[in-house]
Amino acid sequence: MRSAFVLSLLSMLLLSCTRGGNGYYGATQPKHGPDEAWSNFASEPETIDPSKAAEQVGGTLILNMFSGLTQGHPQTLDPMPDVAERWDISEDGRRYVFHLRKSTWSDGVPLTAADFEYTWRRVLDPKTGSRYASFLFGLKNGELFNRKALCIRAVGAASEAELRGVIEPLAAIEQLTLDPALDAAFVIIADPKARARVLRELPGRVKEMDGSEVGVHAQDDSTLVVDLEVPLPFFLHITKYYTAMPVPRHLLERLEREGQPSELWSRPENIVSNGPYLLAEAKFRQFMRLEKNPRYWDAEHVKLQRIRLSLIENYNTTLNMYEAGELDTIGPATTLPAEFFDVLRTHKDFFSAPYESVYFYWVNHHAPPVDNRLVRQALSLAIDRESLVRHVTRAGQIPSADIVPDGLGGYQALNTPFFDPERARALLREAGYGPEHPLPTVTLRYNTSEGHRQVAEAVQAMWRKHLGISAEIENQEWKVYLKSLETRDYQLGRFGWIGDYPDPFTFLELFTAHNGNNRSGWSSREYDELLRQANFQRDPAQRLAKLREAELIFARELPVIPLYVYTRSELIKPYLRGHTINYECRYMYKYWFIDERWYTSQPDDLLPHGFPPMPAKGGG
Amino acid sequence: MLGFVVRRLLGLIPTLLVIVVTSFLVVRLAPGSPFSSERGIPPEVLVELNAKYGFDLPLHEQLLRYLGGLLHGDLGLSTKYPQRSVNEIIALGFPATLQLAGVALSWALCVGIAAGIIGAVRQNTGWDHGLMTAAMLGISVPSFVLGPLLVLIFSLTAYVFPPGGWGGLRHLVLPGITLGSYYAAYIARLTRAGMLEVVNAEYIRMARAKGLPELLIIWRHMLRGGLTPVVTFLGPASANLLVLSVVVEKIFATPGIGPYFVDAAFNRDYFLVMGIVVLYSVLLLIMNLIVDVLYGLLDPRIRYE
Repeated sequence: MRSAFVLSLLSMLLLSCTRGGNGYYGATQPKHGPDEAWSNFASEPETIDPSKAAEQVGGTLILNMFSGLTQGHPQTLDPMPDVAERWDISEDGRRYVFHLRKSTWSDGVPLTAADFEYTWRRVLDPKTGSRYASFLFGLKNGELFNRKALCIRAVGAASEAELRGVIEPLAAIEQLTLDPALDAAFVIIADPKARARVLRELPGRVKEMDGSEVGVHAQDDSTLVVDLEVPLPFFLHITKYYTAMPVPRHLLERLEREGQPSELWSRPENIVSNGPYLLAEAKFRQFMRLEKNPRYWDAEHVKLQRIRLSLIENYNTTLNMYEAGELDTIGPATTLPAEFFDVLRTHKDFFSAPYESVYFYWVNHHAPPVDNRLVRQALSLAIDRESLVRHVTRAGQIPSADIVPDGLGGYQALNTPFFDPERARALLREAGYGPEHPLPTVTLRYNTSEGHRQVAEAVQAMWRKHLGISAEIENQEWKVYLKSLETRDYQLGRFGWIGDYPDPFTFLELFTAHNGNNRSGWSSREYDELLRQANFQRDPAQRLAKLREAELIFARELPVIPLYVYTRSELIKPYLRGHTINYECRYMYKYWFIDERWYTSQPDDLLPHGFPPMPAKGGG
Repeated sequence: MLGFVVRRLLGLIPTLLVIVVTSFLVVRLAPGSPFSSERGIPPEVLVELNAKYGFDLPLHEQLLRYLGGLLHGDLGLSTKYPQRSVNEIIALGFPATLQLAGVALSWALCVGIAAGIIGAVRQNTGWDHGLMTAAMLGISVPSFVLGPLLVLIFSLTAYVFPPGGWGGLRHLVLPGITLGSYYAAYIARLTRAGMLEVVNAEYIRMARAKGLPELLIIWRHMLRGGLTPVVTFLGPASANLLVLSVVVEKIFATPGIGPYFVDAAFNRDYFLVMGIVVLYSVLLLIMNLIVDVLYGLLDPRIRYE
């Protein structure tokens, strides 16, 4: 702890010693030629296999190396055609037909709709071990396949009860669904042994799913038909997420034929991709070099020949290298401590923009006294979020007690009043707590980090000041902390949730009863039903109205206490142009170019750095 | 002598076994899973992942499996980097750690011995006091202070060396100095003290009386006495250099294996943690053995029994 303190003091010293003079932080001329750029990842990507990646840097790399059905607009992130030239959406919003352009993999093999069919089944196949498989649970039968559901064929007119009668003597059923279109029934059995027993005892009748039941089919080389379980108005955003990027089936199958594990396909020496850049060189935990892919379908619009990515974790080192001109940006994954912003903010190459992510405290709905709604509301109203973001987090975060950020997918935020100590005290009295019967000590837990500690201490002080209650704060190492949340061994616990697509649903679905990420123990039939109904609404305005109704329930019940919307802060050299900041902090190298004479151009066409409004429409 | 070494080497095996078994069990005691993250994993995917790494087996079976792999030099698979084996990760990172330690040690020896000689020969002069004050500072200033200071001076004020990263001797200078300075200071004090013991010895006076040049006296007669404590210090120092490079590697983004000490444990990357533990245990045990042997060679009073 002390070493960290001394370190940050020293870094502050370093920061204040900077003599820019011209208002920029360090070097303002590139140390490299005009056909390349130097950026940074804060860590080695865990994997570059799109089906398996589950973190920011791997995702950024994948989105620059692979090209999916759609791609995000660099500023608004709205889905634009990519490998899919155009698409048709059925009346009921449950069938998407994508028409693919002619394109090839980087080894010259044509890319077809079958590659997407193969990839998406691979993501859903539990054997692949995809941690983000749930991204494609919206596909018809997708979740069933991932849950290793058993399939009963030729059901005919048999009722659910009859089928249960057949299975239940052998195994406990978690879920049974009938699919009249396929003339089949699907049964989820959680216990693997019981599942094996059913397969053994009922041969011929019951089978394992093989993936062909999943709603993704290649009609021909250039047509991909996707069927959804329920309409998902934001589905096109899913198709541009890194988990949905295609993998080269021919390469995986070749490795298998050669007797190697096919999962090795994405190692640097094997990898084949189809996006703007190819992985030319990778030195583990040192750097990566991307070269322009001449076979990318839109290669003529890719400007830079080469991108060099350092892999530097320490933010001090990253800042030093940026200052010395060894980096053109600090990269999408470097997080700076709050103390730095006061100094950095004064530089012209510093940018800060809202990020689609909400900082909040989980509330355990089974742990007294916070199981009482009034207590939760009182705790929430006693947090002065305005002061918190101004004095503690200091990077321009947006104070908010809502779970859906304003403007997301055209959504108008509830704008719940977030600080009212008078009312907070009244609520606490109403809950039966006062000077003669004080609220028992509540414990606020957070994962070990200087930043989270500062926030927790501030909140603790606000509760003491405005409610007169004592709260304990307690830190736990990340994995231990996750375990505590999972086993619901906590009262209040810090968390952050990054939205996956610009739609209120990405935040609201977190609190549905069956969502595995819902750590609060709270659920409501009414809430779940509103969310379900919302997606069946044809009219976007009516849909948003339903979602708003759901958020009102959230705001009353408070399964979490939201504090603020995150921001991402970046340093970008003035000569690096074509980079735009978007609310997912997606770096798109194909738009980048180097302008050595940047100072001669008009400042306003230098970098379109303003934060774009959230897109007005939810999906296609 | 040879018998002693062989006996000691055989003695290392049970020690190593105890270390491996204990750390294997301790690592598993920590709550949390290698696969947990903000976003929950679908249940069947978790089952498959656990099966892939053998985490679904009873703990004693996993331990036996691990020991079996260890016999063949197989350290298992990393869970954090699923396409890489622990052997590969160590093979990729260890050379960087070794190079860094090598540069640091060379720096420590060159600067330390030179300063020690000057201090001893010019005892109680301004030189001596100045150098020994510097040595005191070198011992007291921790690397996480020295490192950023060097960066401030040599990378940001005057761009002489890069502030971090990897790719040649240029990148090794600042981390090497940062890591080696403590040892340079220590060696300087050891050398000075060792030489002062012999500086007034009769054979030195004899050499002077013979009219030998002062430099030759220092080189041939005084250093031998002065360096004995330094040599014995080198064994544990080299081992410490390897272990303590953790901090320096973090500051300068050196792609060595130092950071895994902490990161692998935080990530619950069980096999990587074990791999690092095994590697360092073997290194430390062998270093200690070498020191024991050297003691005997330098000091005839010690016998190998």
